[in-house]
Amino acid sequence: MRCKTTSYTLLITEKPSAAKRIADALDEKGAPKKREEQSVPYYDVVRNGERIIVVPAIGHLYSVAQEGKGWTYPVFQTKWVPSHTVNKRSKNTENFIRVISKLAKEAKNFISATDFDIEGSQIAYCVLKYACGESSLRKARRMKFSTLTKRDITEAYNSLSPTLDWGLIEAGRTRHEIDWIYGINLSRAMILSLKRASGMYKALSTGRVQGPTLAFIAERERKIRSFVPKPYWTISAVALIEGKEYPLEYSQRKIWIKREAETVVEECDGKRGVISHIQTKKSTQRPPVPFDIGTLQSEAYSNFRFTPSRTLRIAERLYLDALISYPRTSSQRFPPSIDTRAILEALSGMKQYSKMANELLSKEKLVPTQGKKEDPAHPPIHPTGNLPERKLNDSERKIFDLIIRRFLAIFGEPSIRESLKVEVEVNGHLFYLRGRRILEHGWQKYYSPYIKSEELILPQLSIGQEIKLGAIQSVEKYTSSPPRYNPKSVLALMETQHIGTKATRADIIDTLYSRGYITGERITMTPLGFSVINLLSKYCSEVLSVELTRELEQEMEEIEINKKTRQEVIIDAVEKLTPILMEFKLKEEAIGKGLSEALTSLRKEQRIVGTCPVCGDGLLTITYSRKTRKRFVGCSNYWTKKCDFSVPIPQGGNIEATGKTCPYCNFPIIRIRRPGKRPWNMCINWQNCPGRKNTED
Amino acid sequence: MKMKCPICGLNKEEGSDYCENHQTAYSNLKERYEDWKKAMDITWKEYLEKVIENENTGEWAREVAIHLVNET
Repeated sequence: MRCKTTSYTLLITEKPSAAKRIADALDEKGAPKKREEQSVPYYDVVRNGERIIVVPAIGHLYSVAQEGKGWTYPVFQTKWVPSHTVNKRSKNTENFIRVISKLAKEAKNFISATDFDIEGSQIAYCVLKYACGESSLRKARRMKFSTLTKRDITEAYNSLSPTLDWGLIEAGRTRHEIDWIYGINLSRAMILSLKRASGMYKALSTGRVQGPTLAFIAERERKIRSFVPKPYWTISAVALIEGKEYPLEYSQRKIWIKREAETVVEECDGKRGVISHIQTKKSTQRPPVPFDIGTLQSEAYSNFRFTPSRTLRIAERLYLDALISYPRTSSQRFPPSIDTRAILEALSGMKQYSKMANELLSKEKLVPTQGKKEDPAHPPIHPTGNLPERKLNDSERKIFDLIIRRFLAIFGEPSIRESLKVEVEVNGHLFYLRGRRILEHGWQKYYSPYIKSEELILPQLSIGQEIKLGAIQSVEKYTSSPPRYNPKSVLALMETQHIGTKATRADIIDTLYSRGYITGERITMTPLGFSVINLLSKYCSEVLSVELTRELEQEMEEIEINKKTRQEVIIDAVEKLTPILMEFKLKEEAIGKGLSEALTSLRKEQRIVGTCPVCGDGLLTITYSRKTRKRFVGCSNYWTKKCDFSVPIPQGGNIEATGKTCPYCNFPIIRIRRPGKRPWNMCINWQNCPGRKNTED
Repeated sequence: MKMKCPICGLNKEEGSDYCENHQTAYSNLKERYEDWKKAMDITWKEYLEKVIENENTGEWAREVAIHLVNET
């Protein structure tokens, strides 16, 4: 029989899917009553004779905004307001606030069951304070869990913290307010300087993490663009053994003087070599460490080329489906409280992992490898053992498989490799013949799709044995510049530099793209990006300082452990920012002029998508119709009446040239980026491209 | 009045022939020539031509090399 009591506890979750999972887990019959008001779902749950209403937020329902009016800077007075009043994209949050406020009126108790981290605690705090009323904060208790499995949820419910997690809440509020103060003031300073100098408008931004990150990318770009290669020579040679060719490596990998390389070739050509030494070495490779969010993002980029933000989004979906643990974790160490054996047992029920899981379960002791990083709030990312309840898409399947295999691998034995180094003397010159083979696959058995290792088996060889040399030549090569950053390496850089947080880094990289400061998967600075960096470093270099942002991060961490207060840190941040903004104001004209020049050149460059294959020398350019105001691509030779090629293109999103041409029709390929969506490529000649027709057929 | 960089039109740095970016590339070019001379028998002009053709050469360094070749 359902409970008839009208008073209830209001349990607030971060997202609707989490609300459903929690309601399902807590209801004593596993069948909570779903209700819906103004398109907001909530659940009526009965547990131990008590009524619980589980209601979701939809991420942040409240945002920081300016206290007072005026689109100017500096502004340091902030207030928290419903997100839908300041952000058009948050329109759907309005109904959630209304429904939660209504439900709060009858609630006698409150539980914060949002994700257990800074953002989650902050979300629940705002909902309680502004939608449920100040008094709810005193009554509210905190539910802490790392997976959305029934077991974890019921355990968390049975051991509620008596109060909210104030350290995290205060740190979260401070982070949002400081980021707002820095972001709004610096971005407005840039936008207004551009507007005042040229009348142009462009959404420009920088911030306490964005600035230093862009500065790192700019520094690398300068090195690449001013790089001058240096020549060197390598010796390419092969040994002929039992009719097969084996690559020989000259003892000096790089020879810096051409004549010396030529001498080696002259003295060894046509000669025979003798094996003078054979060295066998066994090496063991320990299993990898468990996944924290950074290593997961890095591995997903290496194997699938998923950007860090995409990986995070996918992992969050898998978490909400109760398939994996909470992904925004820094931990690489499993606490003893996690029943890893039970997870392996559950995985043994999945066909594709059954054999591997059973093999591990047959071990007497199951000891996972532990990494260095710790996170007291959440364990490393791991599968829960639950089976998917819906069909996962391709990307979700890949990330899920990666996480499961990594979890299996951390319990594996070390892998053992044998490497063989054979020294071959040829007319006074030393060459190496190298072989490698795996003796014990160990953990690599479980993680094999994500490991690149090649074996090279050598035949039986002995000291004194003569070796016939095959072709030998010197090869001219050149040193290369440092590699370009990619989203994965920028993320790793931010982590090592301690700038940003595990929750924000991926978004910051996305912002650098969407602002037009960087472009391409192998990241290239745009003229606008360079201009922003040059102007900021010339006129207010503190904004780009890693030390400044690192100090603030440190202070925010101290709030979490009650070593500093929110007020102290905000006052300090404002004191640091004020002189920067004053300096900016004084130099507004010069900064605005510089930005406008860069923007003009960027816009010109961005409109060109490639050469026109119809006339051969025109430039295919994005143009806006005077009549319809719609954009299309047309050939620049239209104005000289030489070519009239034109084609409609998507009206939404940022379009960028890829520098690639279509293999079917040779027309340029463009990339369309839309906020929050995966970028996609398209042949400009989409209307007539034979490639498209082939696909459709 | 500040003089402009002959390659990109940006302001020249004081006491330099180019803007800051191209000046750095020019310094790299001069410094690297010593390595090339040691490595092979090569004149300044031949060196510049090789650098222009080389796909590892950075964009600014190539622009300076082209400018220097055209000047001679």
